[in-house]
Amino acid sequence: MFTDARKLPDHTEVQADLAIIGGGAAGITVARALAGTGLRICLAESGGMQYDPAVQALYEGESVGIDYSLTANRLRFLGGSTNHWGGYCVPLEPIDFEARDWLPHSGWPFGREELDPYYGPACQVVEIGSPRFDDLDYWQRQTGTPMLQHGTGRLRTRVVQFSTPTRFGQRYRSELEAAKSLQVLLNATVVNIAAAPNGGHIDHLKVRTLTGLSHRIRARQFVLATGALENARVLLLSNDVVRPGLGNQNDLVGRFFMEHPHLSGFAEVVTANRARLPALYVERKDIEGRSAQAALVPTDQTLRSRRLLNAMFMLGLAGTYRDNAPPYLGPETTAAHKTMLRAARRFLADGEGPLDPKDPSYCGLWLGIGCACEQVPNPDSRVSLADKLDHLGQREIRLDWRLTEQDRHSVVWHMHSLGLELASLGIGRMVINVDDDGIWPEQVSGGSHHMGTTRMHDDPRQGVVDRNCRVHGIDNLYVAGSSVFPTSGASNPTLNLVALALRLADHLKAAQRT
Amino acid sequence: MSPTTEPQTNAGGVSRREFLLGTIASAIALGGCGALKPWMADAPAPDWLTAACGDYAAAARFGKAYLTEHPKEAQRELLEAAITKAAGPAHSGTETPFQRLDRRVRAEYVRDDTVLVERWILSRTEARVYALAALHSA
Repeated sequence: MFTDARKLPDHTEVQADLAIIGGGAAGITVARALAGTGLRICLAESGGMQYDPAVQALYEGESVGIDYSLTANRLRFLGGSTNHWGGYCVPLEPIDFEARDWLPHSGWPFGREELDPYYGPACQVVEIGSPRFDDLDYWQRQTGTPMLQHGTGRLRTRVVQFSTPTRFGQRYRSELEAAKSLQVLLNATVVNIAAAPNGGHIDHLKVRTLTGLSHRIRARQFVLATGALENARVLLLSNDVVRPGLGNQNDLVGRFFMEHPHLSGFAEVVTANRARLPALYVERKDIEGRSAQAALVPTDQTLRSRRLLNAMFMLGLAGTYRDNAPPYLGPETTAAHKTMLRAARRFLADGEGPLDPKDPSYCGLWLGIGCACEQVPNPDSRVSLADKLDHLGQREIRLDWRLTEQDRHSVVWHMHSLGLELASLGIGRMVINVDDDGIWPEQVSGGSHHMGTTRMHDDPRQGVVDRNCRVHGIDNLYVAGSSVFPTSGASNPTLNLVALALRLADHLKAAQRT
Repeated sequence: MSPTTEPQTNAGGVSRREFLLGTIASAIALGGCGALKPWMADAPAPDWLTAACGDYAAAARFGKAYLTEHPKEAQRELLEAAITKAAGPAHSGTETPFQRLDRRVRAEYVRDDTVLVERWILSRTEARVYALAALHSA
């Protein structure tokens, strides 16, 4: 059942067994997994069914670190940020879960094997094929083309699958609407998670609408699933009983904000003979009705021996160079690329003479490089509250996203490795436009991947939630989504947070039985 | 990140000429080098060099940049000896000199025996090939 909170009588009190705050990928996944189990569920979504600028404005805030748009990187209506999701799906790697002595604050309370049973169901939720991301024999059979035989030992191949992308609000709307004992409360912004006087138990949620109404949701269990930026903000705003904010007795809520730094223009690759690079590495291929593309990631051996962070590269055809063709990258850069293609002609393509006898003006190709990097969990990279108030009278968010020299060193190292790998296979030559100088240039951006602000750790002094995603010190408040990631790996978060949400739903089911 | 050690052009107190001759001799001895013959004074560019450079002028441009960073290598004898030594013995009787060079260049990328030339990552031997082209086109 869908209910518009603006149409309820003022001060309505909704009763439920489970209240979910946020109707994005995590919240909808928990709701779907628990619908039909006998639980009365209320899912409170701040927005409606479509984009509304007035609701979206509740995301406004201050970015005081690396420049970051707090409104463009997320969406506030049913389906949440899946409404502009790119659909990239790939699981975290086992090493991402490990405590690595070169990576401060690393280590999940469990290994990848804990999430493995949930990746198959999560793949179904996001509507991709089975979780064969590292089964290269499978992809080779499906494409009929050999995968790259990596020579440097620095990189290996994984395969990213692409969701259509699933827009959770649209895709699961009818299912949510039809589910018995599930109420989706739209246009209902949770402004406070109200704790009992002892601070160890949540009593109800305070809900406001932009039309000036106030409601309450009472429940036995609560799941906060508003995204990693807003999860921290809501906990910090809920400070009337526990002064620093719920779950924040150790000053951890909002800290350790992580993104996947995305780099453009840091390096370029030229290649002469497209046949040397299997098509799966430069474009999406439809395989069994699903879309997939190969990615290059560092080997565990490299990460361990060089004490590096994780990363993921994807390549794409960015342009074709021909004599007298207009320069893609400005005259100087284009000329340099063409000169390299001509100089290394024999190393990059078979035979002599024109690369393409049918097109003698053809010089080669420019490969674009997509790069997402893990970042060091950094307590100084954080979400806090700004002084300015939003339209509901709540303090806006303040984000201070920071990167470190260690992050930078890893990126440059991996970029160099990619250049070596492609050259060792006779595929291309790379020009690197950055130095390993520890300085992050202005063109770094995020991937709309918000992580880490309510990190998971068994020790309350080191994490906001425990291994079951329950907030330390509060017996009935859970957090869903990538805010619980202690480390980010380089994998896109959505598939992983959906798997974690399914695991949380199992935990809540078990808790319900006991 | 990438080791970029300078070539030892005056190792162990040996005179430069002695060192060059020694390098050339050892390259020949190691080689079974077939067509990768050491350069002789005033000789034209060897065929293998022409074959290795897709475009001589383009190769020479990067070669000049390499030599700017490594001025001690700006000698044909030294470069050709180093390249010849690096190319090593033939894998099989059917392997052409260029195939041998290409194999060696790829191996250098594998072990990161590379240099940065105008920010391009190049195998050390590949960069020297371009440098030799630059000297021949000078």
